[in-house]
Formats: sequence, C-alpha cells, structure tokens
Amino acid sequence: MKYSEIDTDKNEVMKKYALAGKIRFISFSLLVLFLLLLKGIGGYFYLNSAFIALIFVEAVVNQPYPFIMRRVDLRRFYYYQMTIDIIAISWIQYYMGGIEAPIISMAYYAIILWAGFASTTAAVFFAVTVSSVLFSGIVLSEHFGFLPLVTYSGSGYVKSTQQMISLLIGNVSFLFAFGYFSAYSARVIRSLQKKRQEEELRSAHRLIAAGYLVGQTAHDALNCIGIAGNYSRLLSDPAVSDAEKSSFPKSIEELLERSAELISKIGRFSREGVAVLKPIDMHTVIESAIELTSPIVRYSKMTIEKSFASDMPLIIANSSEITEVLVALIFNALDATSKEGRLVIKTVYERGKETAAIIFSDTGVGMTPEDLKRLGELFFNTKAHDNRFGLGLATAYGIIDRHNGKLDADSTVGKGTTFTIHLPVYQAGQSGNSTS
Amino acid sequence: MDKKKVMVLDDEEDFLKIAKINLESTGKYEVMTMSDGRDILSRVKSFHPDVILMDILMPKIDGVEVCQMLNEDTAGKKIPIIALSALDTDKDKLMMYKLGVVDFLTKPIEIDELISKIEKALEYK
Repeated sequence: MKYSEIDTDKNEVMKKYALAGKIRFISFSLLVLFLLLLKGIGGYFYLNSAFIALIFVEAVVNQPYPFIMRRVDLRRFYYYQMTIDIIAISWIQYYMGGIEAPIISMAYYAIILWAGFASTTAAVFFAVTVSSVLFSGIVLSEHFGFLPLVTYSGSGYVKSTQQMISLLIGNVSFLFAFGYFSAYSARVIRSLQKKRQEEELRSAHRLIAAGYLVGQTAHDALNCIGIAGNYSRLLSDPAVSDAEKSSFPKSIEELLERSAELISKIGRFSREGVAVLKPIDMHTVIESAIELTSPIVRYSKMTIEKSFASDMPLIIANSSEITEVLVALIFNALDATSKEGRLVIKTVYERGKETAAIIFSDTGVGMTPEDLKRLGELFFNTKAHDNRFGLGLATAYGIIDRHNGKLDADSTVGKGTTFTIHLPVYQAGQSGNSTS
Repeated sequence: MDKKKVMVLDDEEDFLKIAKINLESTGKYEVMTMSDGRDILSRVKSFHPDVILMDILMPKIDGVEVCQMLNEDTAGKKIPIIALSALDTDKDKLMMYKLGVVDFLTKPIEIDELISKIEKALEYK
C-alpha cells in the first residue's frame, strides 16, 4: 500500500514530520547565526557565500514535501537526509576545527543513525555527548599543545580561549540539537511505518474475516433466494390450494429482504472506509457485530449472551473499526469454544474514568500465561488449524490503541478467556476526529 | 401404491414448507417435517420414514450428530439419508457415507433433482 492510500493518520503524521522539518530548519539556521557570531568575535575563516548556500540548500532539501513523502521509502529517505546532513556538518567542522573534525563526524553519523533507529533519544544523547567530549578533547589538546595542530591553515585557527570556549559550547549545543532531531525524525518514521504496517495488516485481516463470513452468508442468502424462487413457482401450480398460496407473497418478500440484508451487511463490512471518529452508540455496534457473525455462530456450539449497561453514554469511535475488533473477538471465542460454550458480552460504564468497557468472557479452552503475553503479536496463533493467520487480535490491539483505548486480556486454562475493551466516552462539546 | 414416507429435517421453516408442498403435490410421498433433530429417534419410531432428507448445518444439533444417533439405533441405521450440505472434501463425504448418508444435495435445491435423489435413495432401503 502506498502512503497516499492511507487516509487514516496521514494528516497527523504529516504534521509531525513537518514539525521535524521545522526543527531541522531552525537548528541549521541557529548554526549559521552561531558561525556568524564567531566570525564577529574574530579569528575564523571567512564564511563564504557557497558555505551559507549549502546550509540553506540542505535545510530546504530536507523539508517534508508531500510529493516526496508520498513517493519514497521513508527509511531510505531518512538515510539520504542524514547523509546530506553529515556532509554539511563535516564541512562546518572542517572550517571550525580542522581535518580531524569530519572524521569524528563520521563516527557521529554512524552512532546517531544507529541510535535513531535501534535505540532511543537517550542513546542519541549519549552518542552526541560522548562525541562532543571527544571532539572538545581534541580541540583542547590542540589548544594546549598536547596534540599536534593538524588543522586547516586558513586565516587562523582557535587562538584565544574565548574563541575556543565559544567553539566548544556551540559545537556541543549544535550536536545535541542535531542528535535530538535525528531521534525525533527516526521516531516519526518508525511510527509512520508502524501505521503503514498496521493499515496493511488491517486490510489483510478485513479481507480474511470478510472471506470467512462471506461463504456462510452467501450460502444463507442463496438459500433464501432459492426458497423464494420455489414459492414463486408454486404460485402457478394448480395442485397447491389458494389458501396455501395466499401466504406465499409475504414469504417471498421476507426472504428477498433477508437475503438483501445479508449481502449488504457483508458488503459494508468488507468495504474500507475513512476512519473518522464520531459519537456512536456502542450497543448498536455490538448488535451489528453479533448479527454479522450470526451465520457462523448459529451453526456453532457457542451461544452469545448480552448484558448491556442501561446508563451507557455514547463513545467516540469509528464504528466500522470497532465492528472489526468485535468480529475478531467473536471469532476468537468461537475458536476457543470448540465444544459447547458461552460467550457473554457485557458493557459497563466506568464513570470515574469516563470510559466504556466491553467485556467478552468465553467459557473456552483458555490460554497459558505464556500465550497471554504473546497476544497481539503479528501471526501469533494458538490454533493449529486456524485459517485466519493470527491477524485478528493483532489488528484489534492496533485499532483500540488508535482510539486511545485499551484492550486487556485475562485467561485461565480450561476455564476461559476474558477480553476487556476500554474506550473513552463522548464528552459534551467534544468533536469527532480522525484516528491518530 | 403406498406413499413413501419422507422425513425432512432442517432449521429453516420456509425450506420445510417448500419441501413438504412440493413432495406431497407429486402424490407419491407422505412428508413429515421437523426443525430440531434432538428427538429424531422417537420421531423415526412413530413415523417409520423410508428416507430422511437432512440439513447438516443446524444450530441446536448438527446433521453429523443426528446421523450418529441414527447409526447407533437398530431401526435408524437402516434408513437412507440424503444430506443437504456443501461438504467440499472427500474425507468429509467419506465420513458421512459411513454414517448412512447415501447422497448429497446442495442448497438451493431443485425440486426435480430432489425427487430423483429420493427415488435413488429409496433403492437402498
């Protein structure tokens, strides 16, 4: 799936990336100002126009233009940005400190790249601090004559203590800003890629779930149409009495309505919609999920019982996404209750927390603590012959997370499993939004 | 000529009605319909069907279990069964054959096809 196809979260992520671009632009502009300040103090090589141009070109090139964001692999784009950055930084440091500075920059590059993706802001902070200390150590050593002065022999190197301290403070500050930016960008990219993966996963799950439902639903719909056809044929059969025939038109109408409803439900479920959050009645969504899965549940050994809270307010959610989660949990209960079983769907309004809880308790086989810990992992599946590839719960966790909700699971082997979804309730005056 | 007795078991009331009207209108069959298979044995004892037409997918008790019940009963095991099912695999079908199913039909059914399968099934009796 391309970025442009993801309606959900696109604006939110673009906003975050635009902010990252602004941080980058500001940090580079501050660097130019810092160098100009140093030049004002005196003793530095003249900042020629090409140098300033490079800084600005770099900053301009690195803006998160939508046409770039939509067409490129973001991780690769991040590496390109970092490469341009490091060339700019190396050049700056070459002017500031000498030939050894670009070499140190290369170390920054590797460490920051690693830190940005593999670790956290703390790792970047560590990398930048260590690198700054190393760089400062070299400059100080050169200044006090502990190291031979291997430097650019332009119009002069650091001579006064004042200049040297300015250089060190500026360098460390800049590197910190740069490191922070790198970590921020990497985080944004990571979250964007996670969202992309989740979207792809959701589409896959939706298709698999729809495929699973469609077989039985189509069977039921065809059956209705077939019986309606039979009634219609019998209307002209002289062997059938008029008294019997009088009830046929109504039966035909009901059967056709039922088949149309079955087909339209499955159609609505499999269609991808724009994920807009709005106030919805949770009980209606639960009823719709139960009805959607009824062609399968009807022929299973599992019964569904409902216990709905009477004081339940509206919730802020996307009904299509929540339906998907509920269908996944019903499927899960179906798989767990292979023999006779019960699924109780209970709703509770958690007044203090202003959340709504939907509790799914089944009397199925249950899960071990080890399995419970792995719930929500992609492709994790406790069922050897399951045909849904372990996507349902992974998708459910992603959707509930995007709704600022929480999905808890509790299970005892041999007794059953309880899933509890907590979703924020609608507060008066609150407006809908897209999931972020 | 004695009418042959056909027992139809399905959870769809409309299907039962259609099957009964269609089969009885031929003048060749006496039809008993039932929507819950749990009391199949007592109904078999009272009605003595020559053939049973049975849906496999049913909510309270499925067709496989009903077949098993019939198979364990001395009178029931001799009655040929036509299963209404869309079983895909040969393995599933083999299992059903072992339980007394002599033929399969897929919904929505054609009445002519149903009658021809019933006639064929009666030869097993």
